[in-house]
Amino acid sequence: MKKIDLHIHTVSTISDSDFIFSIDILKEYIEKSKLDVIAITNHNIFDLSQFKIIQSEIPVVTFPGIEIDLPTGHLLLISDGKDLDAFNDKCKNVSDRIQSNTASISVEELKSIFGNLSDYLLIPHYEKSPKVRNDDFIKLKDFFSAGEVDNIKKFVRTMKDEEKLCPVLFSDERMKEGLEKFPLRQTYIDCGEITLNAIKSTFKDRTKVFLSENDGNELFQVFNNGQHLSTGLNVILGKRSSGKTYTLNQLEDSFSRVKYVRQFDLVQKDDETDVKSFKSEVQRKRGLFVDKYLESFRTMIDDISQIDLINDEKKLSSYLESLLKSADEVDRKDAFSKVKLFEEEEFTISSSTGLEKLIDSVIYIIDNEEYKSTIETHIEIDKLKSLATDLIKKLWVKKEKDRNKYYINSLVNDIKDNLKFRTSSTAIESVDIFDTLLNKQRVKKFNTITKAMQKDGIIFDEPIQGFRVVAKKLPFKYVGEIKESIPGQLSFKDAFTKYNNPFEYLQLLKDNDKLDSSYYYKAFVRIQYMILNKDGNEVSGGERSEFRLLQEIKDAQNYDLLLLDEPESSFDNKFLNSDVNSLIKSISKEMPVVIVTHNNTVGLSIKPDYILYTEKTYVDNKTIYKLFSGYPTDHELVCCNDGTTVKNYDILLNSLEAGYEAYEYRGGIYNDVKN
Amino acid sequence: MMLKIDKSQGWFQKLDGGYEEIDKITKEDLLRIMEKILDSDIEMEEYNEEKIKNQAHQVVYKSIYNNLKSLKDRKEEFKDNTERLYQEQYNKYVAK
Repeated sequence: MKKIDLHIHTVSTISDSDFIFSIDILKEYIEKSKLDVIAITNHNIFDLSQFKIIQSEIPVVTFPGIEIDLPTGHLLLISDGKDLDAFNDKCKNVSDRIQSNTASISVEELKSIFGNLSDYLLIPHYEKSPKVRNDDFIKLKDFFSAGEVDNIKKFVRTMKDEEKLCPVLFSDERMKEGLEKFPLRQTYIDCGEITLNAIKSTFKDRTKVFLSENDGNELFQVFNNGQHLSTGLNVILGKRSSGKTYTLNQLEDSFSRVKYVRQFDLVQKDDETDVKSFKSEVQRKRGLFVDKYLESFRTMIDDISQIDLINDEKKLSSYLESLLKSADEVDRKDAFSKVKLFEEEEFTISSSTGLEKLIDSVIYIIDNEEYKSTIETHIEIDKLKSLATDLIKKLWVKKEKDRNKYYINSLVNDIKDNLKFRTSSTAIESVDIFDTLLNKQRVKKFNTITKAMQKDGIIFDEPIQGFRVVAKKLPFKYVGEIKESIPGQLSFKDAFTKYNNPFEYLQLLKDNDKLDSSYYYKAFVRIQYMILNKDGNEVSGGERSEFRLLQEIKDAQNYDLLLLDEPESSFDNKFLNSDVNSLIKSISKEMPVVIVTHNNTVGLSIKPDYILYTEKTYVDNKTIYKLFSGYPTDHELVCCNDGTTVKNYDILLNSLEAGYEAYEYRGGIYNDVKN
Repeated sequence: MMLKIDKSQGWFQKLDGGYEEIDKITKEDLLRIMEKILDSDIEMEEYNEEKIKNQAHQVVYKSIYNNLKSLKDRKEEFKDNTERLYQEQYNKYVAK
């Protein structure tokens, strides 16, 4: 078995943050990680002289390579190193073309520079950002031997899928001065001799590629001391203060994207605060859904808040006043006011929106591919096309006429203004009664719709792991409830008196300068969230914790490692056994999970894949946490630091059953009761 | 007949069905007539300068007639507009 890391950086380029390469660090990394093969792969550059130094000083096989920026993602290209000068020339060509961190070379350029790509080992960023995707991937697919992933979870998932490239996990580390924590991302291959071709052939047979030396893909290394974990479910046992939480903290430090549910995190502390924070959390997670529900109401509010009915009435009044006054003055008309245009009113210009929507709808039918055959059964597409053409022509004609009307209106207004200036007669004000009436209709509909929306009703009822999250809409009963829905210290006292008349209420909200208009919609309807248990009642404190635990575990799917510290702290065994165990078990099939527990319901009923046992000892007055591990069926658990062992049977009984005697005693009682 | 010419004067129909001289029309009357135009088919006598002798009536009748005529002509457009008005919101929050 050979341990390999074919993605190592030794030159600081524009694609890296600044660093100084240290050959000593590289040596230390290789030694501590017990690597057999490495490759030097810097961003778009190959440093021949540096490579020669590395090759001469490093005791393991070192391949020359380069990490190339393709338009979609990064590609590792590794050479067998037989002709370093030729490889150097080709890489120089790449460097010349990629001078900035936004530049890249196309697949065609890659092929023209390197010639036959089969001569190299090509590994794209696969389940790792930035991925080689789309056309780039398709064009190079035949040359790929493996695909790089960036964590254990992706490795295991990709390995299980035969359709996918064989996954490889490499460090992608900068071997820089001051590097203290060495990466644990390497791959084992079952390969005899170490040549580039042998490695390529090994990748072709994914049964020869592993995460660990002796345990295939069951285990993976987590600490530099060689400690492994299962890629599935791990249980950490141990006495109080023996280093269990310490181990979880260490694991959290060693990996990125860790979901860590700490002990007592989910336990209720203070009822009132708990209910409040619980509800706001549920609300936050579902806020988007409710926002979507209220989205069109919001659009309507934006529209309605532009309407000023008082101003509309004023315009109508001044029209009538000016009209009557002008009539009264009819005998006193002078040369200016006798001009016909003086009494002329503006052309009304109707909106084109209806026609435009109609045209869009017809075009939508014409362009629809999904239901093409059904449409053609009923209507000939050619007829639809001529309908669209006719409508478009009508729109053109209308637009042309509207343009003329606009022009004439402004011309007439200009003349009227000039006449007004010279005459003592009153000019008739213009009024758009069409819009006045439409605004009234808008308000009427707004009131109807808003009142309907304010009625009690359920917006959504979502079942989640035995619970139900229900969002209800209902009217505000007290002014304080509005304040809870809208951020900031605002007063709604005056506005609330008109709450039953939505439009008038909106006018009063508008009068409040401190209230941002984007919050208006929230002031109309109250949204109440409830979490109901199986019986349809609101959840109790304990049930809230249960719900949160299930949510946290479910949320872990978005991470690469799940750590759970004593989930039994606040749950009863029935709940742990039925809901939690099955959820944890199913998640552990997708990603590594580590649980610390004292509880036999969790510890063994969950059927772990790997057991770890912590023990605190003192050496020279120093606290040492020892970690033993093994499979549940192993007779002994082994400490990877010093090879010492403990008996698995004793550990299980002592950690989960309060010792052998207590276990026997309990067994006796159960037997007595049973009989 | 919502607007008519009689005895050389312009008249509008009041709420009780009786007629009032056009220069006595108020804002409320005007709104009522406008809304009625949209709701039902109402008749209006076309403006005719020859038939109205009272010059003040000529001015008022002509302006109101033109405005209402324009509204009547756009009745379909108004219907289209109001029927579609907030349809999405109506379907979402009112219709079951």
